[in-house]
Amino acid sequence: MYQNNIKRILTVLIIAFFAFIATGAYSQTQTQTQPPLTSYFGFFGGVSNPLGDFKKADYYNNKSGFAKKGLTYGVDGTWYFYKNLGLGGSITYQDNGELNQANANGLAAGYTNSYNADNSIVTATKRYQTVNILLGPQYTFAEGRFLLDLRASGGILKVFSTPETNIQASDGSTTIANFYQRSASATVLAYSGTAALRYKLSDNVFLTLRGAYLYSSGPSITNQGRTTNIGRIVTKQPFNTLNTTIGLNFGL
Amino acid sequence: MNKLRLFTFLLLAGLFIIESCKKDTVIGTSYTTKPFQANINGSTWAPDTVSNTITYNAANKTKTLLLTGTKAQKQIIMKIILSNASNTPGFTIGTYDVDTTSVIVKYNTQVNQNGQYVFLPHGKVAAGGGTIIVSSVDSVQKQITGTFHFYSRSLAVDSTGATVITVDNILGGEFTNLPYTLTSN
Repeated sequence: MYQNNIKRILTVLIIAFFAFIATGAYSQTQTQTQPPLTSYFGFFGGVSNPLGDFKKADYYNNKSGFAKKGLTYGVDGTWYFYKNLGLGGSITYQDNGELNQANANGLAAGYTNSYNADNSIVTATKRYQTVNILLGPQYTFAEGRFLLDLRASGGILKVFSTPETNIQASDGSTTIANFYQRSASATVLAYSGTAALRYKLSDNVFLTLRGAYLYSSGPSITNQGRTTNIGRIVTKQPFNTLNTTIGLNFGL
Repeated sequence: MNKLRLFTFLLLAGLFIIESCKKDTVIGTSYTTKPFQANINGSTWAPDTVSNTITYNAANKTKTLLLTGTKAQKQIIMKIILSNASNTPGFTIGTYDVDTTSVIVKYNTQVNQNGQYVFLPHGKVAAGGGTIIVSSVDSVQKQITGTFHFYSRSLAVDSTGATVITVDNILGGEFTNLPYTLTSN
């Protein structure tokens, strides 16, 4: 439900952003000499979109993450040390959801099949919650009131939690398997590429649309209580997301 | 401008707190999709060893459906004998109530008897104690579909001399497009 609200808010903000740009462009009668770029920091919020295997919900793909679209927000800043070249950094929180009913049912059906069981119960708790802290070089193209920032960065992904599942497979009244895929909490390396379009609202305030691609090989996953390796078994969960956000930046 | 920064910071802090408090539990359940299964005393049971035959006896003009399933020390045997039958590849659809003569059902469990594991009846399925419904028969593909339910009752005397009655409920049984072999003799 809240994802739909985010979409609605983002749509309104994006429309407002372009309306504002159109008004500004009309009023701007001539190109002025570009002043030196000022370092900035800011806040942003938007949607985190899982990609690739991280998004997939396939029992038979051990890299499938069953991740969902979720809320993301954070702080971002850049220090320009030579003309248009700067050092950018960001701290981003992102939530990529939890298993839904269809996911849990699908996993249960998979384990029933793998274990040749009469029935299986999958109990899913917890969700993907992470914070990434990234740092990297940034180059900014400036044209009038518009600035396009391109940044490649690396850093850490602090994983607070991943979905946890308990699997119980039974034959008649006999339990033939009862094990856990535990939630992970770890700090791992992450890489990112970011493109941001800033619009200068005033001398020191920018409205920013931002797209940030994030990849991490992810945390190791602990499996507890298994007596065999039958069925889906996840030992590492890669992360792969594209965060689309809107925000405000303030010149320093 | 400072107010705008403060507002944005407080908004982010509020969102973080809300996100951190999310705790949901989702429970998914799956039952076997095997073509022959039943619920025995509340637990799903799907045999991994199945025998399903239809035998025509020309001398007696009988046609017998014999369906046996075995798994996890449990066994179900169902037999329906049609009299005055003709030697055709199908089987008559209909509702067959247990009568212990032409419609017979057994619920067996595996026990250690003199060092050997054998299946013995766990109680008796009396006349009127169950029903088998044959709902469709594909005589070309040789597949049969239907449902069944019954209860098996056993009597025992405990150490105090009291009679103990145990009832095994076999409910929601089904066999769906279950292949059968056809023989005649």
